Amino acid sequence: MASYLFILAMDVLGHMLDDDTKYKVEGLTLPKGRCIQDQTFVDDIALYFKETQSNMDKARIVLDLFCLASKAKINWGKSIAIWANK
Amino acid sequence: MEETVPTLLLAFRAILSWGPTLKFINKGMITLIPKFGDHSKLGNWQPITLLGSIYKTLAKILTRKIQVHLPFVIKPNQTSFVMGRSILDNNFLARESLEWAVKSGHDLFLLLLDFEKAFDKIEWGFFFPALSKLGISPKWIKWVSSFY
Repeated sequence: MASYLFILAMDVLGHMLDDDTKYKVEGLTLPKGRCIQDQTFVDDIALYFKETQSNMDKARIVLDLFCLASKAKINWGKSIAIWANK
Repeated sequence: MEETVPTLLLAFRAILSWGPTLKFINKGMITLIPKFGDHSKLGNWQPITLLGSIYKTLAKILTRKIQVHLPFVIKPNQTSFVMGRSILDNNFLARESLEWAVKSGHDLFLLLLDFEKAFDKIEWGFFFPALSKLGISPKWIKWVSSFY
């Protein structure tokens, strides 16, 4: 039960990342046209997005909002950022 | 069976109509069970939380109710706990999208986030209204919120 409730809560973040028109983050468009913004396993989230300042700002706003509402806390020290082409 | 079903029904109905005032149904009792070896050593005892049968039965029913709907509710990007999905999808997707971004020159920024003690930190006040937006039935939410 707890695990289902948890993934339902994480689903809210998923919707915030790609449904919200105001903060929609521009993700990675795959060859077949599918666009990915995020991939989640339990509480491990991988965000995929185009590296622009506005995208970073939007992602930060969405994450801050989610954390504020859900009381979840991101451990930035244990989070990893990867630039594909740098 | 003939005796337990009416009793449970009575209890469930009380929980639904009384809601938060019956929060004690999810209270547990922590006790120690002995393991092998010398029982004068604390390490040979295992703590266990015992929950009431009413809570356990109700939680199981609610879990089974939601289980079948999860594949249609939870976005495909979540691969845990949903039947028919696998963590391998995350691995393949991460590897192949990185590879593709490098090959095609797309600029990709990948951020892997770590949440602190995620499970016990959920703020339920935020969560239950969000659930109804996801399309979960109000009745199910009412049941669950009666003991969280």
